[in-house]
Amino acid sequence: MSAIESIAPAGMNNVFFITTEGKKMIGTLTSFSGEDTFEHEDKIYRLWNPNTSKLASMLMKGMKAPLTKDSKILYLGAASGTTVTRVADIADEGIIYAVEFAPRPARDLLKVIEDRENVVPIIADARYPELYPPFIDSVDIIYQDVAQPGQAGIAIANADKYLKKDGVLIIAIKAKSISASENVGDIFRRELETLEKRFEILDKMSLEPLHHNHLAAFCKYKGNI
Amino acid sequence: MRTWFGRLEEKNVILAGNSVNELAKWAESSDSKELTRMADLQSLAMKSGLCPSPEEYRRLLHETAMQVARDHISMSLAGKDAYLMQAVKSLDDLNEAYNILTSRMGEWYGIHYPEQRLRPNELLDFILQHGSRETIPSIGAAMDRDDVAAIQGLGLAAKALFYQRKALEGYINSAMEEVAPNLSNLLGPLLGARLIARAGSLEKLAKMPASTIQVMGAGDALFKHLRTGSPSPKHGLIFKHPLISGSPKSARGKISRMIASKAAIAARVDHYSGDAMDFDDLNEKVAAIKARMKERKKT
Repeated sequence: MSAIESIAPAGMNNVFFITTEGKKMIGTLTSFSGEDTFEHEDKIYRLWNPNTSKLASMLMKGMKAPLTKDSKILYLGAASGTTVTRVADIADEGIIYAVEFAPRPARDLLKVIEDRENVVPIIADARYPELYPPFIDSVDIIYQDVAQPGQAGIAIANADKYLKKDGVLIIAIKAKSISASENVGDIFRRELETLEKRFEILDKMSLEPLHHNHLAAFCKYKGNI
Repeated sequence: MRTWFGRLEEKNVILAGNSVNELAKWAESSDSKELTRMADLQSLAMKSGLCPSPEEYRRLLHETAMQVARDHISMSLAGKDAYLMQAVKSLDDLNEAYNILTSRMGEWYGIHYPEQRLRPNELLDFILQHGSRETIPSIGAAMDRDDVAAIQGLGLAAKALFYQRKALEGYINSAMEEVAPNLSNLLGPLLGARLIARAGSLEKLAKMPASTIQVMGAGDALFKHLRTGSPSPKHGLIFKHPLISGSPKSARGKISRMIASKAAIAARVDHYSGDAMDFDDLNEKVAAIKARMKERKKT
């Protein structure tokens, strides 16, 4: 690791802007040292690559995610766990329920959360929240990044079952998982319309250029009305 | 209400156990249907004596979920594609056995009723339902009760094979949904499973170039082509794909190359990432190829 010029809080628990060699990067403070960590003034930091994490990309673009140190989060589309461990760094006193369906990436997920007691892995299909093993009572936040069609529908099904009223949905909508041939703008419009049945859209933003054809949205849950 | 640590009856929690193993076993066999919205599982667990503190609750929850997840993964991955391969081979065996039995029955019943022109399935049902041809006029030999019983016995065995084939197809469908959903979506579960079986495993298929997948199963023609320069094979097993076998001959080579490329990508995604893919553009692409070939023919 080259010389650290400055480390400044980024407005969220355990998240920092780290400047080295004039480049501003984002990172998290963690209690788990590993290959991707470095120590600075007796603390362990991990740099966070916005190319591989949509959440990092959202934060770099200035979206204010309401994640706190004791948030309870339902994470849909945990994949191999790269972003899950970040969320676990942030909500270090909360609980993250990490849902992933495909067995192969789930295997990698288990490896990286082995020692993280605030992460609860759930190997299940996010389309059917009723069929999860009964680990979850309620959550403050749903973070969703799934590569399946019907993304808004998945968010609604999970919110109706687990999200507190006024809880927040952070969703990365991946147009190419919904349809490869349709116009990207049309897909986003349709998904947002579906979301509006249950949510108030607080903020939305394209994740270009780091993540093509992705739209990030923050939404407040109005309840099942 | 069922929670991951036990059942709530009236106001009492009946714990499913104290150890992670016992709890995992219970949680594995439960779903969240009965879970009330906004229940407070942590207080419930602490009140019931499962754990003394929120920290302990979190630890136990994590450990139990890890155990459930591990079991689930090893169950769905451990040798699933090996099972799948055996199932595909069994399906071929069943087909062969079924064909042998029904053709034998055709010959056998032909002595009694040589005029029948039923297809093997229909003949099987006819024999099981009616036994002898009864009052239908025929030049065939008579069949007494023992003769009928003997051929019907064989018929029952053949019918059992028929149902077993259906069941095995259902198994292959659902196993493919788990092991290789994208490949299954693109090629159909059976053809996808055949490719995996031929390659040896999903991993091996995922590492194959698309061109190998394209001519897989056409080995003889391929080596003859390499040896003597005869025309190269355009498709192997994937010929069974309806978009290939249902297309005019002139376009098949191009279409099978395109589908083989898609299949190679699908196998890799299934093996390495597990994301869902979308093949909406497939029909459009095939139509474009056909149109181009038609155009070329004209000029």
